Amino acid sequence: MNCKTVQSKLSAHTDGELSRSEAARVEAHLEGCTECADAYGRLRDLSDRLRALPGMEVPPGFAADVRRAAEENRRAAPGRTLRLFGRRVDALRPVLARAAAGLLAVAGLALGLALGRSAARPGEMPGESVRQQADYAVELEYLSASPPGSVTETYLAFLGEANGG
Amino acid sequence: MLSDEQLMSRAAEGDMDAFERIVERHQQRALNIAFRFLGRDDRAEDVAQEAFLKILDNAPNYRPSAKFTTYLYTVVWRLCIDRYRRREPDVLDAHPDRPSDAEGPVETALEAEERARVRRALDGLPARQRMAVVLKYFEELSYREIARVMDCTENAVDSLLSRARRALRDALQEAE
Repeated sequence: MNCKTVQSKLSAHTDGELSRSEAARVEAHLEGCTECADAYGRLRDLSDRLRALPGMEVPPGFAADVRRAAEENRRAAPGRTLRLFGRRVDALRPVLARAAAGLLAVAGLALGLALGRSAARPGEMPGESVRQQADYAVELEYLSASPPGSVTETYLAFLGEANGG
Repeated sequence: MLSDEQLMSRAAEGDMDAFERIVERHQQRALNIAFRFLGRDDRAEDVAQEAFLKILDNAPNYRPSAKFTTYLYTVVWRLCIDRYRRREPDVLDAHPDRPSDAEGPVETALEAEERARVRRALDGLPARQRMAVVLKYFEELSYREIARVMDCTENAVDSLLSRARRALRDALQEAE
């Protein structure tokens, strides 16, 4: 390996990303080349300085506080109540929820069939990456913690069944 | 011992003990990432708490297509970048020297100065480079795992880290 090749691999080598054989070749070069060894040394020095930066101690009771916040959120907003024609959906639940769910089911089926054509592994929503799930979690507001019997809950349950969930 | 996926499944059904267990298991990780990215423990605490609440809200939709930690990192990263984009002044400025609880009772002036210098250099990085550094140097993720969290290629991770290292070296040399 020449110096140019080795220096291009030094970052990856510092990060432990090279294969065993490649790492061995880089190490062999470093043993005989002061310039590359110095460059590698500077990278290691930087790594050491970064790693010396302390983390954060867990505040006492953090997990309990998070749990309490979650429980308070659920008590404060047990479901995101839809308003239709100015009235709360749960007040009209027996009739309106089923009618609306039926209409949404038809629309949802059409959409689900269109989306579901892309290949998906069992248990995974079509085309969904970790980032998509995380984006969804971060943006999820309106549809969380739906009350039983709500339009939202019915629609989400339908979606879950359509996707094999 | 229940796996993260089993705990998430229980949390999705309303088991708050399972949820709290998830938080206890991963709180240090979430706090550290947020703290190292944002540079302030109060903001890190807010982000970490918000991340767990979001994860709980999404629990019914959670599909373990990757390790739970990858999912957690991704949620924390997304929330950190939201904070960064809001341009809260302390994220960008050289933040005040606040002794970290992680330090022992005695810290020399030189150590404190070095810590502040490195912190300022890290704060000077663009968001994506900064997060790549946090995930690599502090969480010790592979390029592949970082690529998954940050939704980019491994080559992009390599490039982010190379640029970050150059910028950090320049910033540290300038400060010395």
